[in-house]
Amino acid sequence: MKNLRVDLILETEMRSPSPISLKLAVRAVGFSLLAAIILGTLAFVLQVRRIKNEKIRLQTEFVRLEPKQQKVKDFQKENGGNQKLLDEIIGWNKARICWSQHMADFRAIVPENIQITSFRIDETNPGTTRAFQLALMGRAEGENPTGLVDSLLTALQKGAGFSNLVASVAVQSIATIPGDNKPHRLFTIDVRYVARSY
Amino acid sequence: MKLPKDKKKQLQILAVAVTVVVAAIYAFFAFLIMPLTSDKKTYKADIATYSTKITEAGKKIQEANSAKEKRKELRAHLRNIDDQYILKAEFNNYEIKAREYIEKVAATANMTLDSISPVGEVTVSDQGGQFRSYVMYVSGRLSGLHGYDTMTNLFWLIENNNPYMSISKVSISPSADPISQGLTFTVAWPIWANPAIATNFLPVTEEVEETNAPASLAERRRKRS
Repeated sequence: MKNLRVDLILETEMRSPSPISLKLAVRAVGFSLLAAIILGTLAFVLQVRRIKNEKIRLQTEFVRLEPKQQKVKDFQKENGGNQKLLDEIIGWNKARICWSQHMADFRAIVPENIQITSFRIDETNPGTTRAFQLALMGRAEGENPTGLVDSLLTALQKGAGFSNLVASVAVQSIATIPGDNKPHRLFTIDVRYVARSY
Repeated sequence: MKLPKDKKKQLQILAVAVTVVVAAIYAFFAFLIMPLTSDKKTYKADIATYSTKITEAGKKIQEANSAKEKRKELRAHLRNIDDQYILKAEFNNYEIKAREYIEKVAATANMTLDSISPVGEVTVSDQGGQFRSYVMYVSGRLSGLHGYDTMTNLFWLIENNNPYMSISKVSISPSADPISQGLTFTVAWPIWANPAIATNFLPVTEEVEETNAPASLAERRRKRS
């Protein structure tokens, strides 16, 4: 037999042997991809909107709270200023020496045979601190006037009401009294107080 | 639609199609995805910022009651100091009241004063504070056995009636009269460097203060319903 084959179906008319055609599969994949992109984009847009709404909500909440917060800040600022004022005036009390008490203490430490002839308190360098200085002049009598001056010196350094206030004590001069045949002494003592901060 | 059989035309159509698709993809990313991504980033940063700010504001608002209490206390304390202890000018002059006061306490202490004279206003500290000092110079006489007691009593009255007043430059020296000594001293009162500052601690008026702590979400819902 010779070649009697007759192509009843042209090649272009031939169908795929598979139940699902390639074209259909490509279209299906294409549409699915497109749908996925659209859905993904939509989801993304919605997510951004949700975040935006959350931001607006927080912003509104903050706008509501901010004046209250500011008011508290204003109170605290005012309190800071007033506390500073209070501390400053309290500093006045801390910086002073209560001379009423101190002069009563002074009388208690002066030995019987010492006569104070001059008592002078000065205030030096009143800058950020108050520094007081006491210049004493006196006359020591009795058997041992030098010893009396020494005991006054010690009392001024260590006596009750002095030890916590006094920084230094020094005898400026001690001398006999011209024309006096007894061993009396005239003395000058300089007392410097611990500077007191405001 | 069928493609033309001409290969060249097919290629042209393919090129156009590829260009359109690339342009579409570019436009999709450039005009939609990128701006949205950028917005998302900004919004997230804003959310973080506002969350922090809200937390801080919440904490600050929690301090409202204590701040208000402290404000009242400090104002009352300063007002009290101002009313009782700060020397006030009368007709723009501090001397009148200062002199009056010294005469009054000297009379109470039974001390006879020789003179009272003003030294004036003095800046007390280099720190540039709100207070200045008004100083008076006082001279008197310590007479007899109780002269020293009278002086300490006078000082006690001055120092205890006003814890912010101070005495300085005390001098006791011999006088012509053998039974008396001369006494001089200075007294300093606190005064305001700027008297208008007293308005800073006027009583707190009963204002409706919106400084209560923020209500919880549940509370707000309950109020709304």
